[in-house]
Amino acid sequence: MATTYIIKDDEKTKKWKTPHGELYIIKDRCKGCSFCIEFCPKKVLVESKEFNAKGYHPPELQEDETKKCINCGFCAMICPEFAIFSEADAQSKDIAQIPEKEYPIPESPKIPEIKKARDVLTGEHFWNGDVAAAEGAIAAGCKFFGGYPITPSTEVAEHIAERMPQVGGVYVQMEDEIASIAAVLGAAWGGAKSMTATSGPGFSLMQENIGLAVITETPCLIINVQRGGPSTGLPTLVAQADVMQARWGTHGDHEIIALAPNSPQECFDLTIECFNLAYKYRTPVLLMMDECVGHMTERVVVPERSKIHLVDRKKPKGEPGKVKIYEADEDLVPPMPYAGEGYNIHMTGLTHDERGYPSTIPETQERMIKRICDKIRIHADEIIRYEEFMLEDAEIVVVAYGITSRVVKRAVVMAREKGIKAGMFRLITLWPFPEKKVRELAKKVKNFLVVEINYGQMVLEVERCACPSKVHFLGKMGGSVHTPEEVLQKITEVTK
Amino acid sequence: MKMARTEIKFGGFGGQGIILAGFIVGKAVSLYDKKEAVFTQSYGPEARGGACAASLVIDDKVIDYPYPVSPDIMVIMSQEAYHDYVPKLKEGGILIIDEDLVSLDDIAKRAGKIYKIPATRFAEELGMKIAANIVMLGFFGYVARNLLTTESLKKSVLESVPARFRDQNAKAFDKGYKYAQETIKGE
Ligand code: SF4
Ligand code: SF4
Repeated sequence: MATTYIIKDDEKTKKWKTPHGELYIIKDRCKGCSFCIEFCPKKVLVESKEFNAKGYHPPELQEDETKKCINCGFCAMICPEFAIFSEADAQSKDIAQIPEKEYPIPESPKIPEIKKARDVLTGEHFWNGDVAAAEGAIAAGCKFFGGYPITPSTEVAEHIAERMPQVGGVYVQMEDEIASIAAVLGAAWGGAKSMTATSGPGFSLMQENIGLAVITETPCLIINVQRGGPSTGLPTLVAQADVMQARWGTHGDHEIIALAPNSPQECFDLTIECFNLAYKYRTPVLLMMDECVGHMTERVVVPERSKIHLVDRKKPKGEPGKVKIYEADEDLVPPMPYAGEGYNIHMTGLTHDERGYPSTIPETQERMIKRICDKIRIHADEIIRYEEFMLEDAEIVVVAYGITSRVVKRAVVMAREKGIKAGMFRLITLWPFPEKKVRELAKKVKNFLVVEINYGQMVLEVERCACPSKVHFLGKMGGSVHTPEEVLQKITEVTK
Repeated sequence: MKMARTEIKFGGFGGQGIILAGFIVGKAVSLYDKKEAVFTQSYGPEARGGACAASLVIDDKVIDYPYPVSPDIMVIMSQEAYHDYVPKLKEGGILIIDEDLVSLDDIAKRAGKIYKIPATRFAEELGMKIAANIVMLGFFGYVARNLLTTESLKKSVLESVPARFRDQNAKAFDKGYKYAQETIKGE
């Protein structure tokens, strides 16, 4: 076999003659992982005594075993550092075949014994937003997490991976975000409250299946801890630039519910709320955190289990065989059967009738779209939450959400100290947008100022509803939060 | 203890336990002293070697803006962190340094008070170099005794380290605290 490597047998590279060729080890490349030793079907490799330049012990071929090496090349295949390889003599190619029974059967890894732990950790904790959201999910009874960790949401996955097994739940690290959300939907139909957590790039990948969740009316939670984008953007630096994507990221007519916490405590509370909304309205719900809220650590009070209000699915009342899985009650929400309960379930991303059977009849599409949108629209007042701060006599309303609302609150207090009647309207529910409330405010107040970490997103929504008031905008492209002074300056400017 | 908004910044290099130090103080204030505290840390390239920082805002009242504007206290454990952060120390603020790792220059003039401890050396003498941050916390605990109770801080230290290292960390904490008691006089 012709070789393209230039190999010297010196102190850096070791070469052994084997019955059918040679085995080489480039010692300084080795990182001591022992994979080659473990995977060699002939078990002829051992850890040597010597140190290489990195301080590891590279493997060596046991001198008395050189005859057993069969030049199979497994060691080269498995070595992550390209530190070991074998070359077979041209005439003895066939030898590099291993009889089947000699494949090593790897011992299955020992799973450490898992101690059971409480699901509701009643008491006071010092948690960051990501951990608080993870605990909120567990307290809400979530039993399935399918995800692909991505910063700044990684701590959600990390924490849940540790906690899920303790409460009898399952954490699955999926191969990517598309698979993650697919698994989350599957788990929901299998009867487990389920969720995933991601950030911008992953959120984009999930959009198609979020649409599948909408059309199949699958309750689930998707957490997006926002960072700067587009694309890979700003790993681990803040933005609030996915809020419009949250609304319209997946294609087709639909409504979505999205909430935005501004503290670790709210990350806990709103995660529970998200699950409740998901199950009440049989719909995917988004928790739109941002990097700052995810990574800030504060006191989180976890109430007693009995004080946590949980909503479960509406179960079908009829007998299996007689229930249509998309036949809604008066509230436009159909009860939800789980797979395995005996009901006939036909799930499809195609437009479907009440039985779940695909249909291309325009009337069916019309009926389906209307219902899945209206089930949210008619309940908007119940779903929407917001915070009003010093709004009673306000002459300027500053609109904010997430981390920005905490900057704005400071700025509003500073403005008041200067005699400017400012107030804050904080969106807790981003979608459905609190349209009614904004229209009401617009009747009293001439100036709105929207402060958000993007180049103009929710401001469009405020503009749509705040007519005839003037809507001003103070954006930031992402990477950092506004300072209270910046907001104060803008407030001063527009109220002049 | 009554207190107004106070901002504390911890700076050093990655691996010194700077983040943990900030977290421990935050937890002590928030959970044991029952005051408000927000802890934040630097992410991104800063956190991977080089200067690394943790910030804490504490207050009697609920904290809105969670980031420090001009820190009242800085605990600095590397020269790089000294140059990066001390220019933002509040005029007349408190500067605490590891004296073997930080040398002072004109920037330090803005500090109203400067306290020095060879925290890393002490930790090495105790046979656990990685507890330099805890020695520093003991020292800090004495300096900041008007902000948080020593019992809370020590409790938080012990709860934040693995059980088998508790004794060692208690020793490290006491070492720093005693050193402060002995060297800081006339206050
Ligand atoms: S070539 Fe095959 S038999 Fe030889 S050392 Fe590598 S893995 Fe073992
Ligand atoms: S697989 Fe490669 S890196 Fe790992 S021990 Fe073997 S030679 Fe070294």
